[in-house]
Amino acid sequence: MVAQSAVLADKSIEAAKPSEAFNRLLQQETQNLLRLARRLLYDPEEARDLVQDTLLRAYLSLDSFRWECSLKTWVTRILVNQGLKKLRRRKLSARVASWFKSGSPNQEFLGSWGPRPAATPEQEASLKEEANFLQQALEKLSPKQRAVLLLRYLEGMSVQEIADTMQIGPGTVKTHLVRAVRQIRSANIRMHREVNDEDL
Amino acid sequence: MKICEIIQEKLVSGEELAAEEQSHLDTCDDCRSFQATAQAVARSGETVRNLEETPQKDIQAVKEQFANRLRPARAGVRLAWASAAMLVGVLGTVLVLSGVFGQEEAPRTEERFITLLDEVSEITAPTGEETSFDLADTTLFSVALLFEEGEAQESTEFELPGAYGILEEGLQEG
Repeated sequence: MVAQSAVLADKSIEAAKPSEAFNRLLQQETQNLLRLARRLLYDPEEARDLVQDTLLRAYLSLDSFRWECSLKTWVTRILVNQGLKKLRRRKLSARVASWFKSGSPNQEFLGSWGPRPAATPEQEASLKEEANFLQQALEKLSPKQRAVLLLRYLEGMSVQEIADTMQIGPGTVKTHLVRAVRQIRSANIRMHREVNDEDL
Repeated sequence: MKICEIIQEKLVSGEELAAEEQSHLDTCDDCRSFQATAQAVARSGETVRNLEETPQKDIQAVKEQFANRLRPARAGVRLAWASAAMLVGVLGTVLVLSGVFGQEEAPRTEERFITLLDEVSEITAPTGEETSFDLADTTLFSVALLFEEGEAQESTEFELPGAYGILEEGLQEG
């Protein structure tokens, strides 16, 4: 109850000075938005464009924002929706391209981002391993499942926060998450079988 | 809903398991492998979040480009509003003018109708002779013909001679 009223108080403060709240968001959340965009699209340049577009759209329609959720949730919602649109468009263009040439489209992963400077060699190795796992896991999923999984496990959002961000029910969020994890599990099992078969 | 599904939903949403669910999890291979996968995904997400650094130059680039695009975008929004206002003004003027001139057109059509009906009455009424055509039927018939001709030509102009010809023929036959 106290937490809820604190959130409401925060929102009313933000609503009173929307451009200040937006500036704060720009300072604090650009990094998180970039990381999310990058994992969603697998392309650093497209990720930067997506974040810029998102910020621009949000700023220009700040007057129409009714402060029913936090500014961060709203901006993340715009980013995810625009990102999903880009993915759909990319899927369509990949399909069209595949009509003309065989072979799957080259989805180069973003490699240039590294660990924080303070990371030890062990941490760096662990990060590479985990990042590879996450990358492989995400590649197996549909755009919507990928978005839900990223919000849950990369951004650390709760089911309710994801539901607010994506404007879907909490039950649907759970269903997406369960299906996504099951799909990753199946893909991993298949991959291990293939590796074992090659070893034999 | 099966207990496996309930447990798996709780595992991804971070809800606590009931004692019965926990004991099921301990013995169910499907739920245990699901839990292991979910934990691996969660761990990798957390590691990436905590250890991966977004280069400052990327963040700076986004902020700078955002600021650069904001100025023309703001100007674009103002231009869009101005264009919309101008369009509404032009449309309004067109509507008003067409209303003014349209009013001039309307009486002309009505006048033609009335004149036509008068003429039809004059054709049939003055002689006082009985025909097989009733006056009202004749009028309706001629008006319907005029409408058909008018619509066929997609024009508001009536082809009077043709309609009169048919009407006269009908009267003569009668």
